[in-house]
Amino acid sequence: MRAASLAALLAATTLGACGLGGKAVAPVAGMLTGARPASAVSMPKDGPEITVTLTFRGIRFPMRQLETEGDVTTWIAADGATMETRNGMVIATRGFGQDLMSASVPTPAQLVSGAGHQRVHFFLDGTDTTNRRDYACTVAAATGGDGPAVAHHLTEACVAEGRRVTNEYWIDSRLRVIKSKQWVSNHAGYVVFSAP
Amino acid sequence: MEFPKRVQRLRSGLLLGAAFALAALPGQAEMRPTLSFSGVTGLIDMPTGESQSDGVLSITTAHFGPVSRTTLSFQITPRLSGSFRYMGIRNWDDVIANPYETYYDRSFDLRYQILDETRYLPSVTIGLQDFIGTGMMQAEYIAATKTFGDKLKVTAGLGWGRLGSYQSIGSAGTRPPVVIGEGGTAHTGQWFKGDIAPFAGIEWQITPKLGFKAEYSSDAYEIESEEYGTFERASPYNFGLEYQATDVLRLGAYYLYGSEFGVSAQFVLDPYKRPTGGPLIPGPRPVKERPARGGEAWSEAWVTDGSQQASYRDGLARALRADRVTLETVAFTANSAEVRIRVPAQENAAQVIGRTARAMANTLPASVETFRIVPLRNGIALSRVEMRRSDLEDLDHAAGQDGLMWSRISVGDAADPQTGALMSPGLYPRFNWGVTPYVRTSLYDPDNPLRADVGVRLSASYDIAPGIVLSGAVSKKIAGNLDSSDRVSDSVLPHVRSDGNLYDREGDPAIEHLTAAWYARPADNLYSRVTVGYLERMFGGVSAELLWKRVDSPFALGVEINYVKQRDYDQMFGFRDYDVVTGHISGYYSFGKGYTAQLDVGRYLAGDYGATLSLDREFANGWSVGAFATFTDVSFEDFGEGSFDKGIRLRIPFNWMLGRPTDKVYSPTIRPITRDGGARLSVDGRLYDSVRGYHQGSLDDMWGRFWR
Repeated sequence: MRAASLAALLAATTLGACGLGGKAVAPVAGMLTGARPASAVSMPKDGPEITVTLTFRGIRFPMRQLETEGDVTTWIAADGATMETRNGMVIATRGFGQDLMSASVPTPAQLVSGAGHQRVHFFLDGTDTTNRRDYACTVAAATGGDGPAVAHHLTEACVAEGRRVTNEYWIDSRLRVIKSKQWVSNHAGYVVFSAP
Repeated sequence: MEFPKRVQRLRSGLLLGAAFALAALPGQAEMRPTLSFSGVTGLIDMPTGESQSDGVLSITTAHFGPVSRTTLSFQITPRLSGSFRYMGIRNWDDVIANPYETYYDRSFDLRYQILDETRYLPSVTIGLQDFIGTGMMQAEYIAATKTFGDKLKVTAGLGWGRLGSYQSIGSAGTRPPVVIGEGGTAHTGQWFKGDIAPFAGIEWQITPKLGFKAEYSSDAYEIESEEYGTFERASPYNFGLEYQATDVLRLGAYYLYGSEFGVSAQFVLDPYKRPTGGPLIPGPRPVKERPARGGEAWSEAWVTDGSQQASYRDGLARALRADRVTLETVAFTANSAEVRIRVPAQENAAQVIGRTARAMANTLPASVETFRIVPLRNGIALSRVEMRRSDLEDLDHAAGQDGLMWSRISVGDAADPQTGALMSPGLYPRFNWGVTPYVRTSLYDPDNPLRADVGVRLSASYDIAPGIVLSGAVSKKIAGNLDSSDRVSDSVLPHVRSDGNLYDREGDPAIEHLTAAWYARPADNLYSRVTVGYLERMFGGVSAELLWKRVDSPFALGVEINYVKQRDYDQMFGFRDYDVVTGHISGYYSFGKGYTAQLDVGRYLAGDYGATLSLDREFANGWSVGAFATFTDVSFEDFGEGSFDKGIRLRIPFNWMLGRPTDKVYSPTIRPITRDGGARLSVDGRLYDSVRGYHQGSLDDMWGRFWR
């Protein structure tokens, strides 16, 4: 009896769950049958492909070019997650966990010039409210690391509200980003990929 | 090239496996505020001066010796928090003969943090424990907590009432004795009166996951220990170790009062921290830019060709289906398109609008520049969101795109019927059905505080025409013990709710509801509903509602009138001989930042007249936490235990938890006790909640999802 009432008490408030006036009905079906997302867009069968690593989540997966509109390329993974790049610079992700919703980023030419600059990231918090983060960034020449031999190997160190993120770029003499490691979000971490 | 293997790895890896990945996040450096045995921010049995992070919802279940407490707490604002506690004390009949082996009680707390911690000053919180209830746990306190370095917190405080009962150092007047009555009344006369005693303690974070707590308690446990002899309070010192098992769960083991071992589990949910980081749904289709103006693609000839229009309509309907949006009608001119869409019940409204706009941009001819999107629920138009296609094209990759887009759209009323619209074929009539499991519980009965049934529910709906819906649900119990309650209601009012156990026992199977409903838009800013039939488990009849709500107004006004008859306990087709006219005038106000109030004034099911005040805090992600109280002309004495009707309501959408689209919602209403006074009819499809999700105050809060 003692054990039973203790267990009951433990559950009583927790399972307040189901109460309309202490007596009602909680659907549990969603837990079992939560519909799988139907993908509006799908990964093309072929075309330019990159392999993307998300550092915090420790996952690695292929993405293919879905569309190019002006200087923006949209990449898509097999499950429909997407990433947008402008001249190789990541400006948005969708489906990476916490996404980079939009961003104001430097061009490769600005990075190569070595000047300090601003970077602005927009992301959603857990309540779906837009947050804006303004970074002040400096560029420095980098050494070492696992990357191709290119004209410019740079780091972009950015600080906002006491948080520091460091992006890394391998940029060739034609100002193409050949390989990079770029910050996405606290949840996804950095995204690492090489140009196709 | 072979793909399937990598594809599979990705499926489990990227979109669906995020919850797993959370575990790999590095531990947080700062010491998070933890919870006490009473489920408030605190040490072991004593409170501290800190608060939880804004919006945090926690459930703490803690047990030592004969004492068990389970507490639901919510950080209402960054400074204010509230708690509801259910408590049991075993061995209650060991020394003093009485009918209860275990004494059960409920209590509510409020705390307010008056000072934030600074470099030199501690955080300071003032608290009222069991301020409205039987008064058994009643105490007031002021507690101060200072952090030293990043591993040590020291707390000291002063307590009154229970927390002033051990080794008092002074007194503030005389505290009137607690009259343990029906409960439910505030004991203002006792607050901060009588003996004052100090308490203190430390919390030391040994490793990022492991914490140590030690405290000196000022609670003498006079009733539990000296009077009823349920345990021996041999010492004021308590010690414990707590382990942060996951981001959500913290476990503790303790040695209390020199005689008893204890355990606790703290579940902490933070609406600002999605378990999956964000919604794990595929990205949207990029907005397709139109070719340069003037070419063949810009021809307007299509608008005079019925078959071309129908083919654009069908292409758009196909594109929308992937996002669970149903196209009901579309009205074209050469330069504009207005779509009316049936929206998924729990999907983020801004995202639904955004995805619909993209589908339009990607399927409609180039000459269509103005998009008007009218979301529908139960066949009625909720609002009209109007935008320019060129803005969509301009901003698809722009930084700060959501704020820019919000400033370029307009949201208006859409009460006027659409003219010249093409309807999608095969939408009406439409039959839907489903079988789902259910759990039904009965809480806080002193004979057994938790009873539950599980079973299956067959539900079906039949849409005859836009706004006209037949629906019903039948449930059949599979297992459970709800029928074991033989408590006879002692209510002196008509037994409109207190015979619930009879409905549980005899309603197997039960017709839960069987109704015909008609929803309409009688005029601008007006919404209406008429529902006829078996409206809920205990009542059937007719219910009519009219709501006035402007799309841009924080204020809304509603009127509802019902004539209902009480149903037979077996919940088949028969009625009992109690009938009543019940109804309310309701005012709704949104203060901004998600804080809302609702005031209902009218006549309740037992024929009593009065008012209900509800206060809720809502988040753009669909979360909401609130409390309500009803006062009617039924005296506290006639009402019985609890004195008046009150409770807490929560709402957590499953899509927030899982990151995937689902319309399931966890939305309990927790009442400490259900009596007959202040009881309202429960009818499906009430207008306010189904309408305002697509109105301005709500849409702009969540507008960031427009581009998701």
